[in-house]
Amino acid sequence: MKKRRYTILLLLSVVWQAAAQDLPMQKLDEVVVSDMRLKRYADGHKLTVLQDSIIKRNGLFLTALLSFNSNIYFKENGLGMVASPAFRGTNASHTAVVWNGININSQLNGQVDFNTVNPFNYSSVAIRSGGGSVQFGTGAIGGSVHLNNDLSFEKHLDHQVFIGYGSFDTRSINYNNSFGTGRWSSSIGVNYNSSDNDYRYLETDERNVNGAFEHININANAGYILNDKNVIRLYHQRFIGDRNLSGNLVAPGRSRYEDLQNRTQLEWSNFGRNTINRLKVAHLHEAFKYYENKDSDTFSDGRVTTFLARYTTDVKLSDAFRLNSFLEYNNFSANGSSFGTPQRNDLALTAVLKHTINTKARYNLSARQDVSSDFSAPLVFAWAGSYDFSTWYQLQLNASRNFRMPTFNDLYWQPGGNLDLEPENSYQLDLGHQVQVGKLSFNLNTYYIETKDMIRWLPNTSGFWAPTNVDAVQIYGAEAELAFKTPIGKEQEIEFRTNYAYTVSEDKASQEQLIYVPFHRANASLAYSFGDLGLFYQQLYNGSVSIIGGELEGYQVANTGLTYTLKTQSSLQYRFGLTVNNLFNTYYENIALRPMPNRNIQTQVVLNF
Amino acid sequence: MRINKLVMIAAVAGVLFTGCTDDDTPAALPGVGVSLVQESVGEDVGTVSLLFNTMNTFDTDVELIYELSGTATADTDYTALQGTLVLEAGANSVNQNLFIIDDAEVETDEELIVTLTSVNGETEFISSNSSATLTITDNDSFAYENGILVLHEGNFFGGNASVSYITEDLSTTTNNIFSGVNDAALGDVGQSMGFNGDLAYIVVNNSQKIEVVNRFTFELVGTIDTGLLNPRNIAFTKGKGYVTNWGDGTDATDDFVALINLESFTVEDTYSVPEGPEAIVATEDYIYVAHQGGFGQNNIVTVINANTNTLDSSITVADRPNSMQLIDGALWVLSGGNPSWTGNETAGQLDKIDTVTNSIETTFAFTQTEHPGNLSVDGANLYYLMSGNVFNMNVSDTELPATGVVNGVSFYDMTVNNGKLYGVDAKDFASNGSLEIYDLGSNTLDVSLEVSIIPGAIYFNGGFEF
Repeated sequence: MKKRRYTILLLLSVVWQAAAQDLPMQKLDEVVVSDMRLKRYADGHKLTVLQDSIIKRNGLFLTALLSFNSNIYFKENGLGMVASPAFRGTNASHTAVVWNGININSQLNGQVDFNTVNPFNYSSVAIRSGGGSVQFGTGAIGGSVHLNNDLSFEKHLDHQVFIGYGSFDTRSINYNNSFGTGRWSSSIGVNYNSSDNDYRYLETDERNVNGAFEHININANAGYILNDKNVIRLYHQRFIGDRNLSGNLVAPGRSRYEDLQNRTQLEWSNFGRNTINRLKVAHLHEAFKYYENKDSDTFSDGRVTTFLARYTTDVKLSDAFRLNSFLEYNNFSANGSSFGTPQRNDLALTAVLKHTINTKARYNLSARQDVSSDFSAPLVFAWAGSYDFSTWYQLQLNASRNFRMPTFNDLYWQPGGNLDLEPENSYQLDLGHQVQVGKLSFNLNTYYIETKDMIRWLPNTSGFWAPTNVDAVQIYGAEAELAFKTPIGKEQEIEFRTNYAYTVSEDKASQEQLIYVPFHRANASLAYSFGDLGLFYQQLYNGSVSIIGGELEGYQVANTGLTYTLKTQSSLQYRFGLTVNNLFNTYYENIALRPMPNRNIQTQVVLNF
Repeated sequence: MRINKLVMIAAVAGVLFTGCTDDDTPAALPGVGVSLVQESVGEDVGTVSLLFNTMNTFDTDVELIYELSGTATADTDYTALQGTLVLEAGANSVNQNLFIIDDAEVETDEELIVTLTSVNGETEFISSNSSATLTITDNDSFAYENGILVLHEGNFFGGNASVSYITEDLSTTTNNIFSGVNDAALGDVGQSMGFNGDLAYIVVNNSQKIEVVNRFTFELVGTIDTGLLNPRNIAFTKGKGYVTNWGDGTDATDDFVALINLESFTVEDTYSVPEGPEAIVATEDYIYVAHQGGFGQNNIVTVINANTNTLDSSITVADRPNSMQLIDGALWVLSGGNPSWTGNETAGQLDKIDTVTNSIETTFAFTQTEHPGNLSVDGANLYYLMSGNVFNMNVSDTELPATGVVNGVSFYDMTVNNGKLYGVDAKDFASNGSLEIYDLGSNTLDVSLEVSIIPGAIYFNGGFEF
């Protein structure tokens, strides 16, 4: 925590130099940071931030980054295939993904496919553990993952070219540019990734024959400081994915999936003496085409367009109290082969009151009410606070009610869609200890989550599948995180991070652990740098999971990598990287019957200028 | 009456005649014969006595030599014997123990003939009972004879299709018999099974293959894994197999019936057919394909001529024909009608088709919101499932039944056999399902047996015949 705060402070001081003439210092973070709620209203929650150096280590997919660097467990249908999270033993639609302040979970299935997110395009990826529906909306039950693009206003112009090539004909070309003039800041990122992904299944004679993919990401963000009171910011991203969907050991794959995601948000901020007003409008568009036969022209498709408008006001009531409230309107319109052309209008009103009792104690009390044209949403609320027992020990506690709205598929799919569905309803309690002793930080969290009215698709007597609010699940567990980072002498640095999670997630009726939730899961990474040379090693242990009618063995998999940085006389700087994934050539299945890649090598050349 | 009299006269005459000969002839020479206590034994009997005896005794020890012949094999079916033994002086009989071997092989009954060939090197002391025949009956059977086979779909892309076997007396259930015998997964989505001779053809839909096994041992005989696409059901006639295939589910124009060579287990030819071929049955001359419609809806039965292997005709029934039964030369076709979610709800219908003229003979119409399925037959009784109730009618009935015989069931599939109703309940599709057996005399539940994940079809195995 300390470390991070320090980094932000450092960053802010740089920004301040450039923008000081326009805005008072205390407002600067409001301009740089895309979602202030993570900073100001996250007390009482564990917040883990993965910065650039870690992000660059795990390649093209957010799934790999989080698998090796967080406690989130992922179910992955093979490399680059659909990947969904199980955050604290919850299901795939119980993790909210928040892009610069906006919930981007699919309106169709409530999930985000973490293999469609390229982590290179974000300045930081933050993981907020515990319920967050009040602030981040539907699905923030296990926790939320935040993709942030911070804007840097200091005068600069930086370019980065990243070229990667490796096993299975995997190619990656990325260009990033960051530009600032003091008043203006912009960043652009363009990525192209593709792979034949035809790895051999270890212990068999077969290959992953239908796993090729091609991804294009375009990100463009900009901010402009109009004057000392007004700032405009724009965030845009576009993802175009074209994947063949791998089969498994007993069912050959022959289908193909095209993804298109288009997101744009524009925000105007007005800074008063004690009040910050923001107006945000956003346009989100998601579309897919599914080809049962990749060589055929026949496909089924679906798309949802979301128009969002949010008005936020953040008021400093007194030295002790701050109030953040927003009113948000969402209009969803969908169109698909299997659900016709439904429309929905939602309105949400949220208020968060922050009370800073003294320098050691603070808490947030918050509530939210959604009103939807299609169903009644519950009043959700949260209390979260922290207390600093000493300079090195903080206690955190949060309790909340959260929800997940039925998705378009749940409501409108033909046949089956059920307009009588209620939102899923979840209560939870989370107790955290944060210890920071010198260069060592240690977190321990224990939590309890109870979710009712969970939506499950089951066959009915009419012979088709339909969703109903039937399941109830209780989850409890513990998470520990340890991080240590220290320089050794002038030229060396060592960083060690490890995470462990124990998770019990059981169906209340059967008292049995849910399928695909490991009781034990741990990862560790060690990074060492010596001058221009960098070395890392990371290992993941995923305990066995129960699957329908059986059990899937646990596995351990390790990656290692080497980087060498070459500085030149000019501002041009090269970095060469070599990564070996699955170092020990372990056969493992993350989803039953879907072998993951054998040992593979990826190389990178990065040019900074 | 007349026969009784004849028997009596014969018996009286016999007694008189025997009495005369005894009186008239001098003391007879000793005559050794062979006999058995039991003439037919099971192979697990253990030891059998071969009894060599004589009415009149010898004054000295005599050596008896005998031969064993017949279909039984020494040291396979019985422990080999030396072929000699001694009948002691003054003894009326001597016993030879024969040990019958209890093997595990399924085989035909064996005959063992014991023939006495000499007594003290002579043949004159051999009586008329010179040989005896022992029948050794096999006590072995194949693992999966005489019982119920339940095919499980398993989960889509779950790779957990399986077959369970339940003994005829319902006392024992064995799950996963295919993988147990063959040490390999059956595959993804066990769709249906067809039987031809001693072989079972297991259609594994999402693995795009058919596994061919011996229906009694479940040992793998062959795999048909090229030329099929979304295979559904199989039927046999004239030494060929016919398999319905959806092709791509989303493509209404690529559906086909594959002709299977039953020697090489390959797809020999394909016939393009309209959308959604599902159930298939065959007579000597025709193959009938019900087009339920796959992902869509269809309303025809396609007829293929088995002699010319050409498409013969198409019979329009009602929407979504889902099951067929051949009864006394008539084809009964049950159509479900379109369900309401299609936006074009239509009524179910039962049609009786003449298989000589291939034309509809009788039609029974359901009301628009009635969607029957799973047509099954037991003798002259038809059964079908509708809205969780099982209905029964006789083939001679002129109207559909108004009420069900077994109500409130949740069967994923059902069939009837020998006065019993068999239904599989797939429960929540994630935990083990059950096989429910109802008595159709009392219409009550006999037993519910736990099987495996998503049971989807029920078949019956009889005894193996040589």
